[in-house]
Amino acid sequence: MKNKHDLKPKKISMVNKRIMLTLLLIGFIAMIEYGPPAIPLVEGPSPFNSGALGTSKFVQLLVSEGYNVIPVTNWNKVSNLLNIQQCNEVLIIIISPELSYNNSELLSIKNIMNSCNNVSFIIADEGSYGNQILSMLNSGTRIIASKRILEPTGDPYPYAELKTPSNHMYYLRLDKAAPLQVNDGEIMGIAENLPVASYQIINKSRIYVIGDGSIFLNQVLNLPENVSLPYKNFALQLVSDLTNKQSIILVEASKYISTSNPQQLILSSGLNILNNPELFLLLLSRILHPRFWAPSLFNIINSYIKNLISSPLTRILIALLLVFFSYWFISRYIGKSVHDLKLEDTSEVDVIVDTQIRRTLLGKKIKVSKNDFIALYEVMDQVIMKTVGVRISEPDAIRMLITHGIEEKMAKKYVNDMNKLYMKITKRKFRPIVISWNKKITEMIKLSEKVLNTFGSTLIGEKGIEYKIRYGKFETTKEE
Amino acid sequence: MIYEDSRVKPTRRIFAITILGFFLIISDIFWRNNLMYLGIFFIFLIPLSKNYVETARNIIKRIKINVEALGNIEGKEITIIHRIHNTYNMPVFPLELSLKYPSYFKLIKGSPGGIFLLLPKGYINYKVSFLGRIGEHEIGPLRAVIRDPLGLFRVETVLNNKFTIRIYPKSENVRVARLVVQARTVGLSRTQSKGTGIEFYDVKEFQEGDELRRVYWNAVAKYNKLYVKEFEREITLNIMLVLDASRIMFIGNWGQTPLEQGARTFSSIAKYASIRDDKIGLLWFSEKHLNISPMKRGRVELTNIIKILSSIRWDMLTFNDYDRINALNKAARELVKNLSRDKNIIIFFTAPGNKDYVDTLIKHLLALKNRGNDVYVIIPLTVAYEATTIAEWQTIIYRLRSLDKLKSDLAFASTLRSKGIPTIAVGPRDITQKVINLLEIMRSSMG
Repeated sequence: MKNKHDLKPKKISMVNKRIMLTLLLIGFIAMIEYGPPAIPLVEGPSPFNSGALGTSKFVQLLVSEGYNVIPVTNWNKVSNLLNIQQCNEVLIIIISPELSYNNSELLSIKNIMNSCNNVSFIIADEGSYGNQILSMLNSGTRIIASKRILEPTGDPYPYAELKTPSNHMYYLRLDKAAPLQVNDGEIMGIAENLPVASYQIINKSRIYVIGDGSIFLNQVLNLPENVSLPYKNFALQLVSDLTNKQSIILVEASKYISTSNPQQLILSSGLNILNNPELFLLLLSRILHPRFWAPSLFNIINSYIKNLISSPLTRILIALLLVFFSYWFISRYIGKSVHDLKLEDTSEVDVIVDTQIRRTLLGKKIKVSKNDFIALYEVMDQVIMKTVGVRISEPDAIRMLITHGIEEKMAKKYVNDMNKLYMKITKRKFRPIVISWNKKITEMIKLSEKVLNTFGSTLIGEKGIEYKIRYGKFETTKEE
Repeated sequence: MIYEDSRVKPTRRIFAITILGFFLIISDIFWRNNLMYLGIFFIFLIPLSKNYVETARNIIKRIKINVEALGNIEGKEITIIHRIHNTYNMPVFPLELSLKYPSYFKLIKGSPGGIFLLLPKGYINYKVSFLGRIGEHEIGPLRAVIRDPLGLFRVETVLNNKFTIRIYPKSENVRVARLVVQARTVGLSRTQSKGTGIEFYDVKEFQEGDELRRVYWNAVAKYNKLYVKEFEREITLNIMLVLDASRIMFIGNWGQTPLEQGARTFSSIAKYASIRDDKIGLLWFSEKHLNISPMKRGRVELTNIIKILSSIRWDMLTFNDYDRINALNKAARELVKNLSRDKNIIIFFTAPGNKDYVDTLIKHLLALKNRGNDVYVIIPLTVAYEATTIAEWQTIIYRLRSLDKLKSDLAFASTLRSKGIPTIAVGPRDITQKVINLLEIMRSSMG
């Protein structure tokens, strides 16, 4: 039957605790080695940047209007994406790229034009990288990145009259805009008498270029409604003129400087982390990551140990401590040590059950006592009575012993001495004076043995007195 | 092979080697003394040794063992052979073996244990010889300790579980033959009527139904007629032997305890009875066990009795007087069930006990007697059994100091006699003689 303990659910550890700890240690070292995961935090006008300089608001605006917007993080993979989706009409929006395009990326953009029916472009850039796209499109328009349109006061925030392809006019303030060199397109915007926007159609591709990307930035679109509305309207009208809601809008998201260091981002972008909870959490995660604190901690420990072991005495002490700690640690792994004893042999016993008397006698130097004499007297009294028919204390004892073969002298001495000593021991007579009881009793035992031998019995041999007195009762010794 | 699940355990030596290993490594780190590799070597020895022992344990787990026991007569050589066969291609060394055997046996050849090398695909013949004692005994288990060569780890396991051997009593054949002759010579067993005895009674003419082996050929030659010999009828007895095998019967020296003397005597009596064509049975009881061979005639029964005697258990436990009384009650019940309807002679060999035991014994014996059986009690004089094989002077003192015990034994006999139960107090020297004399007296009284 199962007992109560058997019914208890048993804890089974699927993974050994030591293995778990080892894996954790390996993981910890790996975390320090490889650092925190590189979370792309983009600084520029990326649709992923929710900061002031990002274009996340613009993308949200397009999505809320019902457009199918795809931020492109890798132009080389965009053709796969378009193969999956229907690619009838595509609008590519490029806002102030911060990195240059390589040939394969430009080729990928060209491939989009080949594979899709209708591809339009909005290039809003005050830098030079937009020109790479324009060049690839064989457009004669160029952004003069080296130049800024300034107000008469010298400020780089001129007002511009901007026209959309559907001839809607907007009067917007620009921010550090670059003038355009328009060779083969229509000028669509002028600021301070300089062309700032153009429109042209090349091989069915409609291309709208504007020398300022700030129109689409969060810092503009997040302004109060009365200020930001013309910008929103312009952006939406422009998009609406170049595409429809069934088309795909590809927004550049790959050509912006990204950083995985939030501190740097805060410093460079001037973001307030209290207003950006995501940034705050990212910063926190970096601070908690062992890469942030472990090297410093190890350095502190290292320098502390260095100081500690600079003295030979502490060095020896630490060495010993480490040795014992190592032993303690390894002994936990190998288990508790045991004495390596030889297997126990069977210890043979001669006697399985022996009496206390025998056990006491064995291996001891024996000294006889008065009690032994009393026992001797009683035994001899029995033997003599059962052999010759009289008690040792009876007057006829000597005569009967002689009759049964004991020498007269010995019989007299034996009977007299036995009786006298018995009387003395039982305190009925004072004499004889005995100096050594041991010697005297030993002498009487030897004499008794001689008497017994005459009767065919013994105190020493195997067939002892018990054989002689086993019949009948053990008579009580008579008192004189 | 039964395998005990044992774990590999480190020995105390591992302390030294670990400390040394780490000390060398750490000293190299601190003092640049180039002892790092030596330290690593020492530390590396630890898992290496552990793996060695674990592998060896797995080999030992799959070895084949054959056990053979030779000899089954008490006092003669009993040989136990363990043949341990390694089925693997890897040796096991050092392999320590130790055989457990009853502590009351005497080892006469071989060693109870030792260190062995078990070669790949090889075998060890581990042979030990004992002087056995009557009864059923457990030999084993054969234990093994496997270590690595440096003794850093060890595992203790059981190679072969314990098994039972039975040792038969040595019959006193010569004495029995002498007693048979003596009994016939003095005419103790004869009756004055013809029957199926062996002593010649008369000659008569052959009649139909007479056995041909009894044809008296001398008379046939002389008178040219078929004559057959007639023999005296011998009285046969129904004898039931009861042997107390409780703990008190184990008092005494090696091979000379009342129990062994009793078993030997009863085996001799069984042989004697089989010669005399008596019906004989045997019952032994101890605090824990009981075994009985019902009364039968002939050599088969002799074999049965010897077998029953060889099943006596040597319990090395401590029992109290009540266990013994309970065992006696149980034995009495079994005895009654197995007695013949005719008159039985029950010979009860038991040692004295406390008052309750004596009272219970008397109660049962009187009940048996009242059923028309003859009951005899034989009691061992414990003093006589213990007073042997100790030094002379110690024997004298022992006898004197055991006087109270002797008195108690005699008082026990006296109490039984006072209740009308014939009781004989015996020592190891004359027990068989006494019992056979008793039987022959009974036989003659029945004639």
